[in-house]
Amino acid sequence: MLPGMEIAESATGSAPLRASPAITGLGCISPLGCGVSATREALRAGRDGISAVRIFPVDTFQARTAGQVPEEFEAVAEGLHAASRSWPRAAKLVLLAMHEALASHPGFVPEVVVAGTTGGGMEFGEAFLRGLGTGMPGRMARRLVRGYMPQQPVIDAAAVFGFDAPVRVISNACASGTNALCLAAGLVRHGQAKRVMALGFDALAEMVFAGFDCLKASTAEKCRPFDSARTGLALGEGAACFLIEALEDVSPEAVRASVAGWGFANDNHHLTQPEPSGGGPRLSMERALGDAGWTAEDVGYINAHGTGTPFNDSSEAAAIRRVCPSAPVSSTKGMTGHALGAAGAIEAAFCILAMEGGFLPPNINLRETDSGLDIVANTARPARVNRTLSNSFGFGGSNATILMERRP
Amino acid sequence: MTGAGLSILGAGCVTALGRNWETVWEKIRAGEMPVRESVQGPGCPRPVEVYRTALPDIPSAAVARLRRSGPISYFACAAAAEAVQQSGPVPAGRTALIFAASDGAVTYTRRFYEEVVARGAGSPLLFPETVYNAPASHVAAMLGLDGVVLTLVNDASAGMDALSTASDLIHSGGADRCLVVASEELDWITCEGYRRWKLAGSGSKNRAVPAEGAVALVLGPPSSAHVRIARVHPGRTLRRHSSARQTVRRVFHELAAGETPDLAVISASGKGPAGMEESVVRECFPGARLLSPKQIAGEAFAASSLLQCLCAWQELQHAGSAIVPVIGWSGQVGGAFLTSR
Repeated sequence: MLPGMEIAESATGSAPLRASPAITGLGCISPLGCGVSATREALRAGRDGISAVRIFPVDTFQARTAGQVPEEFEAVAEGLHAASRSWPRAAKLVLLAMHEALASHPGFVPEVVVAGTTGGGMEFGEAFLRGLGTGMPGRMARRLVRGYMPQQPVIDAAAVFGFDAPVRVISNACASGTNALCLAAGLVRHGQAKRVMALGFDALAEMVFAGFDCLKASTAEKCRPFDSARTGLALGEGAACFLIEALEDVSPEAVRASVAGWGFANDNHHLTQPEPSGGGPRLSMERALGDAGWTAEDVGYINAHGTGTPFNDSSEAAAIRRVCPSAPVSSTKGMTGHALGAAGAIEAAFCILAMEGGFLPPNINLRETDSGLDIVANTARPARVNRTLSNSFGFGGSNATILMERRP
Repeated sequence: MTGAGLSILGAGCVTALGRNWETVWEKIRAGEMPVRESVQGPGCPRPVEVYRTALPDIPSAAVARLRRSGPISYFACAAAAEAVQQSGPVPAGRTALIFAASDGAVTYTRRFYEEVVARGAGSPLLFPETVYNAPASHVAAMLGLDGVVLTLVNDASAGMDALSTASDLIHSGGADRCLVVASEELDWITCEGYRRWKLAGSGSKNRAVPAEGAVALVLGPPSSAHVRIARVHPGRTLRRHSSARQTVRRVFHELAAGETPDLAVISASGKGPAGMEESVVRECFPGARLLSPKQIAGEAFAASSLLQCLCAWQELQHAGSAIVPVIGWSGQVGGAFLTSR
């Protein structure tokens, strides 16, 4: 032991404050639409947002489709901030989601921004590598290197709205968005900040598309979460932004939902494959329920991670059967594709829209299921939902669950 | 500001200066710099001088997991193992692992994408290791940690983000211990990127020397430790050149909270926003002695900011207080303040 090192007493930390984190602003862009309203209607209608990939060549891959945000998003972003035309796709997504959230809550200035992403400005890294040896101008090179960094899309978008809050970026693979939202809520819950912005974002990128294709995780046909004959995932993209404050500090009408609890768990099974019995997901859901003080019967809807790969869906279904066997379940990735670091944030937004709109989002493309779950098959189900659970799992054994509650 | 304090219960370090913290610290104190090597990739007109770190020995528990991994995971596992060996066993379910990086597993990322460009498909052996949280996953598996495992990415301030997150978790009751690990690896593609950005490269003493390696800390509540991390600043983003100096000054004053540090372990390395750091420190804390470990060990971003903390911690074993400011290349400014009893 080095000098000065001493073993701490059994750690308890200081007594935690328990404010209730409330979501008071929301922005969302996904393959289902630019903005919360368009997204809500598409979600309710069960629209299939998967289409042929148009932003890079896919002729050497088995999969050829993905969930892509509406083409007009770039023009909308440039309308908000002309200089965004030289930004990577991910930064434009962040700009739009942030703008919508802030427009719904004028005057909100975050003390901290917590963002989840897996790729940041990945396409700029790709362009830098392709540009080497081609006489790429120095100014272009600098722009690509700077824009590639995962924190830069958030920093650039935040500058448009004039705040200098620190940016904390979580990159926990496909659980990143949920991790970011939970950590942001935790800062409010424990009194470490009064106003926090949470984000999840990722843009479709050739390298990542090639990655899932080479692992044979992507499907060449429809993405069919929880279907007995599912063949894999479709990738997606998007961003969701949440403004979070203490429930006690805001007027009830300003609240869209509250974050009731969360749980994280790490399974040490494999870098890319889930533990077959669903141990990690089960632990994550159990910890979330314990954190919120809920029982399984309290959960009115589960937005599953449900990627549509054989391994993920069987592992997750096993965990749900153990923890919340009677809750209605859907995966919305059949509609949106898997937006990786944005997925958890987008799906948390979907949970809020479900509670506000009185419906359970459908699990489209389902023909037959052996999951043993109450799947909301193919069409939305009218329901008054008060409490939701959303799962996100990722490479590295990352598992995260967030529980949200209808506004009081 | 996270101000309830943390104690450092164990430390580990792998850099070009050595394979354990004791060796690294001796060389920093002696001002003994590592040997520079040149890296130059295809299509790159000029080489970049760097400090390379040899792959360290890793615990047997990590061997199987790391058989297809890149250097970043080897560095992370070796540093984490040293830190845990010093702290004693960490309780699996109540220990959070916070991993921090700036560039991540860039070697495999570059190799995978080169394959995609060259032949339209990449290797399934490479892709899984390209994700930012792959090193954290390996460290967690080596130690059997099944609780909170997070990977934070940022400029050099990622190390401070990790300390801040650890403090939040420990003081909110979310974890009893936090293992904070920051690791970086070098590749010619990032070296070329930083050269093009005029932040690194040969021919100018104002440019940083990119380096690689890892630093790990086992953290707990303050308890009776002689030296503690008293405060961690959550940071600010420098938005405008005209107001940057004022923002940096404000962060440093908030961090010191009225105390006068005896020591400043600064992050300055080359140009960029860090260039103003030294002058603001001298202005705000004129009596503080300055130590700049990056001038000796090179620029390894997130790992370097934790190295700054370790240097401060080691220097305070006798008495005093230290400010550890960090200004990253994308304009994130933050830091930590350490005190001894």
